[in-house]
Amino acid sequence: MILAFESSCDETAVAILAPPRQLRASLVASQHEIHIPFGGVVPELAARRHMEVIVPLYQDALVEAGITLDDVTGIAATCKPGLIGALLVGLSFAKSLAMGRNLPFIGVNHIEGHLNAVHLEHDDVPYPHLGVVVSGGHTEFYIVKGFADYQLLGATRDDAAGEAFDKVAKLLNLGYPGGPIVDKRAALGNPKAIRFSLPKMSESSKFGIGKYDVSFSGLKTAVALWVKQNDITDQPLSADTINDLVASFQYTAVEILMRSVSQIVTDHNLPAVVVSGGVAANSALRKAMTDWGIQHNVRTYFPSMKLCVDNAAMIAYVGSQYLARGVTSNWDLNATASGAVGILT
Amino acid sequence: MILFFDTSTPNGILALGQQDRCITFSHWKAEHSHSQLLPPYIDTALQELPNGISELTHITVGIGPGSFTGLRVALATAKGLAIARNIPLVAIPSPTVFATLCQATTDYAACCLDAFRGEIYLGIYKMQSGIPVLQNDIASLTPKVAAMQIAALNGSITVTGTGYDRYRDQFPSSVIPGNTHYDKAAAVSILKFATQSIQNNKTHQPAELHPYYVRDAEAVEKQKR
Repeated sequence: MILAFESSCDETAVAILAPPRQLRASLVASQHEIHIPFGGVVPELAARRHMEVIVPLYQDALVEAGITLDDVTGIAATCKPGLIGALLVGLSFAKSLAMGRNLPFIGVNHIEGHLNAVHLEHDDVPYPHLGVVVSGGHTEFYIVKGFADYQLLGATRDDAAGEAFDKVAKLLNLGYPGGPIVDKRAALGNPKAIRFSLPKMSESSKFGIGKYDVSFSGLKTAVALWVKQNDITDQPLSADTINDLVASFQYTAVEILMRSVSQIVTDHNLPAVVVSGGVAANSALRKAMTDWGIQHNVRTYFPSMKLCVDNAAMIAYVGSQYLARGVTSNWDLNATASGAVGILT
Repeated sequence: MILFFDTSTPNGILALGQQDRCITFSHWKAEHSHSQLLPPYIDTALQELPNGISELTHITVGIGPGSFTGLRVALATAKGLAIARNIPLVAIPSPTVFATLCQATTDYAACCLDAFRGEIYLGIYKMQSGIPVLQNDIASLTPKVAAMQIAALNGSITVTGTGYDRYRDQFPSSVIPGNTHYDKAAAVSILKFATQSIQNNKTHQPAELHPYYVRDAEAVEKQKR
């Protein structure tokens, strides 16, 4: 039985997995309420909250799984990328728990967790496939050739997709977190009411393959400019106009993602696309991706909603795979804010 | 057998023993990497025990105030070990930890830890049988106010800590500088403090013990202003 911890941002999560994919417990303690007054995640408050809840959540997970620590054979924890103070809570707790029981320990890359979450629910995902990670902190495209074999092809050059959703929601005073709110309001609006252009990407990028990169900062600025031009003090935007605005923003954001997905799949002749991360819960993205897949005979996979958001089940899965291959981390493993997938120590 | 550690400042410290017997102690400098250094130091220390980790009966941990991240590394590590071994925790305020560096025969000992943002955490102690006994409520103060409180004490005083090191020129010239290096005498003093706490039933279950931050997060302080 693998025990796993995730604390990279504003969700504390504990999971217990009977490998390969029998999830005995997967608990998530969200901190959204704490960060709402600040309009975004406050790293110090996130770390404090992780510290408060990690032991009770761990205890609840054991109860839910109907096991004791004696039944645990290995421990995993997210070690990167993320907020350092937040990561350190889960990582330090997990390492000492493993040390105290002389259990094997493995640090897991959060992105690698997202790339593999799909395997907890599907055993037919073909390799190679395109792995798309879209969340509040990440927007990356990988060719996944097998477990622990990833090739980064493109990423956002500025804001992550989810970050753009949050910022647009904040601009319009719609609340936090912005993703689900924009999704809900967009469903009530006309996605073609306002025409926002797609960004023009130069060929050069830090990853060397500029044509697959994406950018959301121009779109975000275009929304802000539109609001400035149309939000007159004595005539504030109507609810219908805001619905149209966020629907148009969301439509364009999805178009930006789909453009890269389409290019990569075509160029590399990939049979399947796996989309994961918090933004994978977005209904417009799911529909666009599914429709596109049917049209182009490409299989599309989305983990269920509970596996799209940050969770420890995906960390348990990746941890179990590495431990089964005899890969472990040393006690001096540290948390890092960034880091490529597949590199563990 | 008691395992103690504190990572509230860049100076990480560890001791293993009980009562007035210190089996091993270590210290290290770590600006940002206690998480990297603490577990290997623990692992190495435990190798001194013939029966290893199974001999541990208590984990004693510096709970702060100090570096917010450092406190959480120590507390999370302590909780994990305590749960794994099913043993209780003993809390020790971090200024008390460093007050053990003041073993001189003065009337008082004071520990001033750098709290950043132009402040220090001040703990004032009387040493009783080699154990620091706290005389004030630990608070975050400007160096000037801390120096005034120290100057107002009626008796001789030894001062130590990262805050004293940083703001030494603001303290009365009459104070005696304490040791700057963690040594076996300080480790024994901490283990005696822990032993006394255990004898007085001042132990905690892992879910009960939290960092002693003293200050709110900066974002909350800004919001209050």
